[in-house]
This record gives sequence, structure tokens and C-alpha cells, in this order.
Amino acid sequence: MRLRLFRAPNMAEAMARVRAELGDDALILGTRPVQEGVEITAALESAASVAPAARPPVVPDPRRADLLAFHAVPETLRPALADGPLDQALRRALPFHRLALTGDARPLLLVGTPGAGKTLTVARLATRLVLAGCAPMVITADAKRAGATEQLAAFTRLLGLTLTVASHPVTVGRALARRPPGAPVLIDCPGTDAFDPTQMEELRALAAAADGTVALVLPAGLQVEEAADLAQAHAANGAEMLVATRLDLARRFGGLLAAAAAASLPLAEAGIGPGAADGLVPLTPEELARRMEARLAPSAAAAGDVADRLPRPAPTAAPRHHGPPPRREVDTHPTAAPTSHPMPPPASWQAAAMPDPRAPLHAGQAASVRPRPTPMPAPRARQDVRHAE
Amino acid sequence: MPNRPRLIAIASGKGGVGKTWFAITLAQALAARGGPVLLFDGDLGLANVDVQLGLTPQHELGSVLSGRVSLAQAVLRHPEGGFDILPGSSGSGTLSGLDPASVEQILSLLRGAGAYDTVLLDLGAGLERGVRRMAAAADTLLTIATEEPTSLTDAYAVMKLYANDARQGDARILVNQATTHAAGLRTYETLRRACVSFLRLDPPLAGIVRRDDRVRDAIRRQSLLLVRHPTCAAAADVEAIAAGLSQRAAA
Repeated sequence: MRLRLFRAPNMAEAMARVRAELGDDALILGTRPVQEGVEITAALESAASVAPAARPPVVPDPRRADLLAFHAVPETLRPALADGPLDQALRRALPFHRLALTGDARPLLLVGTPGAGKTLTVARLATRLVLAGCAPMVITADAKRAGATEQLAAFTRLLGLTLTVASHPVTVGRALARRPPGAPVLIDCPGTDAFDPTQMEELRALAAAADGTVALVLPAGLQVEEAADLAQAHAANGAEMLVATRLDLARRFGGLLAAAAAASLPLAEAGIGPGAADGLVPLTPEELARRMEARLAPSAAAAGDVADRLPRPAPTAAPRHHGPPPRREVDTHPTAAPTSHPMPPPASWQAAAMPDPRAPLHAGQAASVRPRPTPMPAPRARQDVRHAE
Repeated sequence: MPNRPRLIAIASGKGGVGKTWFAITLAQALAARGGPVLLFDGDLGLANVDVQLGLTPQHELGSVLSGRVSLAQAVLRHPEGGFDILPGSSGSGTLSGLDPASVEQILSLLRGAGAYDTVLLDLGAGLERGVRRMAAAADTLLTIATEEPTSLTDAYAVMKLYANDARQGDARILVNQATTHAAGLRTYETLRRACVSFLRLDPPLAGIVRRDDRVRDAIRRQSLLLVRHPTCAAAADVEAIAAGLSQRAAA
């Protein structure tokens, strides 16, 4: 492990230095205020593995079969995951991909079923880029859903970005002609039915106009065949990777594993909580293994995140069928009534995690917020949203 | 059924973080709580428990291992501390130089020391094979770190080997020479976060010992902190750690 201390006048600058010196893999171990501003302790772990112990170990874990059964891992994947450390087995059995959002990369289009978490994923990626000192261009192509633009605009406004609205291939192309040099591009696509040829045709046209990379946003906890079908349909229409969402709320990850395996789509990122700044992490084999194992751990394990604080039923009491998503047991999203359908929850779920656009922004932004008369005024043109069409 | 003592290993990776001092002070604090304690000086290359305490060993560890001398004959009783010491000073070289069979022999000797409730192993600095094996074989591992970055990375290296060798074991982190209790907590959190993220291991905090000038004074006078300065901050911290260890042992 390489460990370094960084001091800078503010967090953004300190983070930029961490990234510049240690790269994107750096882990932030701690931050504290100091006289000059802020101090970050960051570390980088080398991939070199530990020499084998003096004692011969590695007995096949009899609990592994229970774990795979609990997660409803498809039978075809089980032999590959049957023994050895789970993270290493996952690394061998499934494709993983490190999302590179550089200034010269092709635009990234986030696609998926309505409510999958596309908009929140765009917001989180934009937040990550801004924190890294690299302002992205954010485009929403979702002109259909009521409030979709305003939802994303609430985030881009906080980040000091302009949100571009462009839902037609032609306007997307026109908008991209104004791409600032060195700015990564994120495109929030409308929710689509992967089995409707017309909708998929529109999506392909959008991706072609943007000359972009398509990432499928897939909620964890879907039933295995459902997730596999969805991923295959999107892969056939040009999706190149998977962004998994709701890893903190879903209890069974078989659907996710099945999707990645069936469609050969590499796992890239994972939504792990409601926060914009820390709610999305690169999905590594280690992260996935830890979360899978935490579901059957007898006590709150390692990470200390929301998922691991969830009370969980005893493994013996867990249903074995591929049922609807489980009830959430912590009231982090009070508006989210547990539902009984196996598909993504309604938009209200997302909205609960989003900032209320009408809520006051933080002090630095306050000047741009004008008090609104009640009830809600008619929509008016905003400077922080640019309509390209 | 014969009593089997609890083996508590104390490691740090880096030298100079107060490991031997802590082991001695913890031995006295545990002994004061009632159970008989044996302190094994496992830093065989630089065996210095006896030096720190101004004691003169009569027998070498090698004599015990070869069976010429019994464990009871080889241990030294600390007159004020109320605990026993098995010196590591010897012609037998360092733990790293010991062949694996001898390391196992030492471990079984300590495990069989039924006259004691607790055996403390003061392991040497570094990560040699013998140190690594003893850390993994102990019932509890206390890894000592200070707020210095070099100490953090070396303590992390100890935890990394431990995670590999004894993943289900009981390893805890101890912060020594903390400027304040809050600073010690921050040191612990930093190390813990690295363990959780890189090793998927979540070591609990064994305790924080604050930096205290009276520690240096006691070491200089070859005397025990709990005898010389029984009411100072560092003494209170070590006593609290001893209490925490006993509590969880009983549970």
C-alpha cells in the first residue's frame, strides 16, 4: 500500500492532486481540516498478491453453495464460482470494465427501462467528474417524461453546469458540435422498452448521431431470466457495458450476474446509495463479492454502509424463489412504498433520492434562486438549461 | 482438562512504535486484574524485554526447546510487575532464522503453558516468516500503529498477511503515542478504512494510548510505568485496554 498526504486550500483541488499523483484507483482514507485548508490521506494498493501462507489452507467453503443459491445465481455460472475467494472467482467468470470518462472519449449514453436509475447515474457521474476538476457536458435526450429535464437540471445547477436538452438525433448532433474541448459527454436517454423495435430503433439513431458508447443501466434484484433477456436485447442494439444500480437495496444479485454473463456485457459501475457524490462506485470483483457475502453474513460486516446495516432475515428463512424485490427495511426514502411488481419501482423512488428543485440551494448558489410565488408558477426559460431544439 | 492459556500476539511491522514497552505494561496490567501472565520475548534478534526491565536471564530459550531446562525453570519473575517473562535472548538467532519446526515448537510450548491464563507474545519488527506464523497462530493479534505514515503502511502490511493467513481470526488495532484521543481515533479510522477496502477485513479498535513523557521516564529508569507513574494518562489507557481484553475473553 502506498500512502500519501495531500494538502490544498479546498477539497476539489486536493482531490485533483490525489488523482494526478495516485490515479483513479486511489482510495481516500481520511480527510481533515488543517490551517491551509484540507488534508486528504489517500492510498493505493498494488495488485501484487500476498505470498502463500506457511500453512496450507483453502478448503472449499461449504457455505459457498448456500450463498450462490441465495442469490439465485444461474446454474451455468455456479461451477465457476464454487470455490476459491469469491472476488477472484467473479473476476475469472465475468467481464469487468473500468469506465473511462476522459475529455477525448466518445460520449456516454445511459439507456435502460424507465426508472432504472439513468438520470441519477448521469448526475452521479457528472458529480464525480466535477469533483475531479473536469466539467462534463450533460445532455438529456429525455423529452417525453414529465419533469425529466427539471430533475437532472436540479443536479447540474448545483454543479454549475449547463444542461442541454436535445432529444432528436439531429439536435443531439448539433449540440455535440458545440462540445467544449476536453469535456467528457454524458447523455441521459429516455426510458425504453427493450422489446419494442420502434423504441430501440430511435435509441440506435440517437447513439449513432452522438457516435457514443452505450451503457445499459440495470437495477440489481431483477429476476434472473428477466435481467438476462433485457441485457441481451440491449447488447443486440449496441450496448457495450452495464451500470448496475440499487446494489444497496436489492438482496439478490443473480439477475445482475446473469445479465453480464448472458450478454457478455462488462460490469462497470454500481449504484450503492442515495448520495450524488458517493452513491456510485466502480464495480470491481471485490466490491461485488463483498456485497454478495454481506447478504448472508450473520452480523453487520465490513463496510458500514446502508446495505450492511439492513436487518436481514436468517438465511434459513429466506425465500428461495425469484420473487419481487424485498421490502426496504430502513426508512431512507419515506415516499417509497414497497411494491409488489418485479420491475423497477416508480419514478417517485428516484425522486425521493433527488434534490427537490424547489428547495433552496446551498449558500454559494443562492443568488440564482428566486423565491417563487405559490402555487407553482408556470415553467419559464432558464439560463442553466439550454434547449437545442 | 488442562488449562490452555490465551495467546495474544503484539506486532507492528515497523520498529520504534513502543511495542516492547506496551507488551510489558500490558502484562502488568493484565496480571493486576488477577490471572497469571507470561510475557514471551519473541523479538529474538533484538531481545530486549530483559534489558528494558534490567533483568538477567539464567537460561537461554534454546535450552528450553532442547528440553534441558523446563519452562518453569527458564522464566523470570518480575518482582514488582507480578508477571513472568520468558526471555528470547539466546544463541539461537532471530525468529526469521529459526526453522519452521522450531517456530511450531515454541508455539506448542506456549500453548501448553497451563500455569498461565494469558501468554503475551512480543513479536519483532518486520514481517519475517516466524513473525507471520506466530501472529496468525495467536488467539488475538494486537497490531500497533502510530500516526506516522510509515507506521500506518507497516501496520497495514501486518494486517494484509493476517487477512491472508487467518481471515476468521481476532485481529485488533492499537494506536500508540497518540497526541490526543481524537487524533488516535483518526489514525485508527485511516487504517481501518484501508483494511476494509483493500482486504475486506474490519478490525476493531483495541484501544488508544496517548503520548506521555512519563513513559520515556519509566523506560530510562528500567522501571515499570504502572509502578513509577501509576496515575498518568498512558497508564490509564493501558489499564483500559487490559480491561477490554479481559472482558471479551470472558464473553
